[in-house]
Amino acid sequence: MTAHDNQVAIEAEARAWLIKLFNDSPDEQLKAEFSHWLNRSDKHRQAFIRSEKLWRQLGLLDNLAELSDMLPPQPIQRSKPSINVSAWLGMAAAAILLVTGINWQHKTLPVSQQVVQQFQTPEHTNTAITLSDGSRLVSAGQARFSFERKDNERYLAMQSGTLYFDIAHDVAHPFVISSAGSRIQVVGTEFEISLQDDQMRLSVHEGLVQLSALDTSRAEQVVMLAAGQQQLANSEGRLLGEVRQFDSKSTLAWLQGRLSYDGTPLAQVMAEINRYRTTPIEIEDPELAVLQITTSCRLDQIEQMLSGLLLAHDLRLVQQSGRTLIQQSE
Amino acid sequence: MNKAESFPTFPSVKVTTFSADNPKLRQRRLVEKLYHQYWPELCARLRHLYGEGPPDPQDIAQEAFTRLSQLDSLNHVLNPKAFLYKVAFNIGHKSVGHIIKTREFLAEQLEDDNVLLNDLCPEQLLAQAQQMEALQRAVAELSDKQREILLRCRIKGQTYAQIAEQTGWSLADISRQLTSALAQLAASQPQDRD
Repeated sequence: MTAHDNQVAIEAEARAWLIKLFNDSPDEQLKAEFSHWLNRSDKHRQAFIRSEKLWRQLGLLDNLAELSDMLPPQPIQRSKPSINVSAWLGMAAAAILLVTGINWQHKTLPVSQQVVQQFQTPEHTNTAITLSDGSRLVSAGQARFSFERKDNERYLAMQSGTLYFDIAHDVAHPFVISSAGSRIQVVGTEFEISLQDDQMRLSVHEGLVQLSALDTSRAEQVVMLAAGQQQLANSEGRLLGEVRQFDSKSTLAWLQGRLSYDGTPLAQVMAEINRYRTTPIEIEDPELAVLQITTSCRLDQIEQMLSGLLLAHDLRLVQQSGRTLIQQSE
Repeated sequence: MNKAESFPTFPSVKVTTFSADNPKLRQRRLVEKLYHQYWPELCARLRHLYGEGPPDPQDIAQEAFTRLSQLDSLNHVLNPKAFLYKVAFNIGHKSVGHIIKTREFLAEQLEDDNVLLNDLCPEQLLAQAQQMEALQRAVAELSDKQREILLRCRIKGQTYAQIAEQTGWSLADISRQLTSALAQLAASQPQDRD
């Protein structure tokens, strides 16, 4: 074999190794064999470096977009919005700490005395909580609420934030939620309640939910919401507008660890982002508050999404007397 | 409604005057313009490649724009749109689990962190322009089957098993086609060996 033939053979071996290594995660045996081959001579090493460089350069072609169009689309695999099981498992430990840490009742109370559990969830992340009746909740960042069993009811008073409820089925003990002038009663179902400023938004994902607005100066206003329906109410106990359909994929995206917006007013986007921030961002300009935003990100990408949003809309963050304001750039 | 198609619903953008010799501001404007023009198209193409993920197409697009805005300079980029796509596709490819593991192993073996980072540097791309043109021509000359297998491996990050499952081609055939394609591409490159 001539030196040239030898070189050609080494180059071919180098490409074969590259193909093997990028096919799947290399196991220990393959790694050892490759390492042995690579270190046989400098020619082997240089040949592999050339092949690897070529492989990388393939990702730098100017016509990559057009080339990608030649491939058939990736088959779609979608699941319905639901609580991510792994997220639940991952957050279980935190949830237990949270419950035991904040339950302000002494553990030796008489059995007859009612126990009120107070909850305050942290910002930055979603927190999963299992209540004593087996119902599961997930908070989107910061939320405050309390839970108790009284008479024949399971009673949850919600003070702030956004919570997703997966209520344990118990016909004998209705689950009642008191929230910003409204009373919500369920038996066993899944839904989200979001409190923002002086408004409450109820979005039903599964089953039926009865919402009563508690304005005592008016005849009782009751609506029954089914899956896919949403209703707004204010803190004075009045229903706002009619029952409407909602897009559960984007509304409940946060359950999957995402935020997703499609033509959503900036004020709402900021309110949701603020649940995950230590320092809230405020909007004073009413024109900016209604600016329509379409974007999405993972919860751990909120700051990146915010940077992109500022860039795209020519906005900036300004520190003013300890507050963080979002403004149009000058 | 498809998000990529509906995006963006921007209001009129406030025009701000700036000094033409301010490179940072000029770059910011360029990234802003790319964001306005190509976000929907980029997300659609990423969705075409990766479906709904993972990696999630909008996460990749988000990261690609962030990377672009962090670059020191885009002066050397002749085709900013193509550059944006390259950044995005490489982020997508690098997010595939087995690719990460292989790159980590190779970076260690070759003692070269570039293998792992694989970051795009506009200046380096310019220096490699001749090689890249030759490579692009060589890819165009591959058979349709070779090109499809190559792109599935190199851009989508699919394993042979995944390709076989989606195309019906045998594992041995996929391996043969890829070997042959790489040999053709290598032959297209200027001879720089010792």
